[in-house]
Amino acid sequence: MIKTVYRRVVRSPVPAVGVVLFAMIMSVVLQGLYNSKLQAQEHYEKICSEIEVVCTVTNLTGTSADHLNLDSYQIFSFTGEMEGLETEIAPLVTDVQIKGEHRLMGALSEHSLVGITSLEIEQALWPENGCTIFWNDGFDASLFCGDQAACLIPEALAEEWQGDALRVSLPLEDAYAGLSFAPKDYTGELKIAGIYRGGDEKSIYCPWALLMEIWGEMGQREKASALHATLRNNSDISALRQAAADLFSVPDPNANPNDWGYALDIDDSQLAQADLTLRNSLRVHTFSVLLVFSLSIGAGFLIGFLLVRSRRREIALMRTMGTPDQSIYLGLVLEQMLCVVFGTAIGGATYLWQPPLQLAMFATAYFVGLTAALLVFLRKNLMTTIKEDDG
Amino acid sequence: MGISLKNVSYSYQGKFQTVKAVDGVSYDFEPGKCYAIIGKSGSGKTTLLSLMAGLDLPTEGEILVDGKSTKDWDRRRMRRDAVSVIYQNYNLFPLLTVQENIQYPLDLKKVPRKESIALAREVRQRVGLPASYDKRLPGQLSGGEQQRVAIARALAQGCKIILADEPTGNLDTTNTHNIVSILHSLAYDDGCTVILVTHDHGVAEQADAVLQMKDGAWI
Repeated sequence: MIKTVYRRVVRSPVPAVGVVLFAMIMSVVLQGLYNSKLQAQEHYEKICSEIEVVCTVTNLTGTSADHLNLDSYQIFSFTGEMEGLETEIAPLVTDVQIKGEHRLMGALSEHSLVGITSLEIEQALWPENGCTIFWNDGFDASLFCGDQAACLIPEALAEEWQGDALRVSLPLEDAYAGLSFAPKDYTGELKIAGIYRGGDEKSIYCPWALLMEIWGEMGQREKASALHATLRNNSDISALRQAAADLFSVPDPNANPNDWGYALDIDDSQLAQADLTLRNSLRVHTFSVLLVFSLSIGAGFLIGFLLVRSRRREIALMRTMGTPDQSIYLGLVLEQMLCVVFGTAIGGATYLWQPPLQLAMFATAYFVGLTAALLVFLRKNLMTTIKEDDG
Repeated sequence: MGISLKNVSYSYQGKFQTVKAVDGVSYDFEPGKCYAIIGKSGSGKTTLLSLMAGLDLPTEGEILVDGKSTKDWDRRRMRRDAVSVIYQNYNLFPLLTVQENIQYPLDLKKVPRKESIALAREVRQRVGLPASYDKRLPGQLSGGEQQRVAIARALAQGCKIILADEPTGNLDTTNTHNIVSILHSLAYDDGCTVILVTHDHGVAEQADAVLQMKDGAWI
């Protein structure tokens, strides 16, 4: 049978070459689609890794993210720094930014000591809000990452204050119960790291870790006025929502602002946009692949139909001579599938066989269409076939 | 091996109505004789020949091939082993050479390669074609030569009933004469039952019996 197929192909190569070319084109198209899908996925993963999903603690209505009064439990659920506290939020987030403040007393009673983890958490210090910072030698913004006893003071205060250190006094406001020592006020010196012009002129900024140490010495409960963090892995967004559900509600513009509690605003709009784009891209891809498969089935049927039509006299003759229908069917299918496999192999080689499954599916789809056409013809009554042919 | 028609009728569904192509035909065709069936176009000759070839079953009556009804034959086997058909348009496989065309029925019967080649050469010689034709394709032959190849193929098939549908319809006088001679020799020398359908009265007159058809029945 292979010899007969070989003879047919060699002696009448045009139809075979046509099928080979068709299979080549289809396999290249399929692989192109596959590559575009891969690229869309890579693009999506890249976007997802680059997009920062920022979670900000706000009031219940979601209208303010500052001047809050977050307690220790809420703070440490993000930082995970409290012994014995099991938090599900802390492992999911990174780059936690906190701001806390404590009023001062004495000569600086009009001011507050504000502890921040970075300049990012305090919008009043941003240049775009008209603030300029002048750092003294040996200091820069990294000051807030550590726990150095230094501070950034307003320009007006610097003009009044002489010397390179600031003496601050913090009154005890809300002490922890059951401490091994007596809670007390705090007085200490902070080196002046720099001055700022503009912004909130009543705040003296120090590292958040330093403020925490001071509170620790005082026996004062920690409190934060602002807090935000970045999702460590964007795929954990659902896990974060679930973990935060016990402590925070979802911002609701219709909520009563006088109710106690806070909301966690997870800004995933960019991520959602990227997700939508990818879904659309994948939908187009799926549709295109389905279209190609449908075309393959259609092409298989059409080529099979044209094949038996052009050879109907030959096939009818084979049948009149007693050739089994199975042999005729196998001969024609073998001939076609050899061409399809050959064409697919050439087309597949151009992409180094990236999606062999899809190529196999294409060949199968073609085979289905071809078989349908052949069965339609071979099931016909032989006499009818001959009469049609004579007609 | 003879062939008998017992009140054979055949109807098929045409575009607008049922057509009765063969209407109650009976006859006994004996081995070693040559028969001619004549009639105008549409008289049912070719349909009758196709029924005898086992392409379909009669809608009424029966056809006995070697004493066995075509209904009881495995018709594919009957077409392979008992009845050969020769057509007006030769019906050779266009992509097979002369030798491969002649060998085709032998391959179907799974005759060993060497034997089938020898037999193919023998029958090719018998129909008067030289060895140089073995490797030619049908498209490279004249009409007469193609018909000889078709007869050689029927000979190689080894069937004892030869049905020929207008075998000389496309041939000139000389080729007609040659082909008729070969068909006669099949009947008289090989003991085959040869049944010709023809329009050519000259060819029909050379047969042992001439049967005329009109509207699907004998006249």
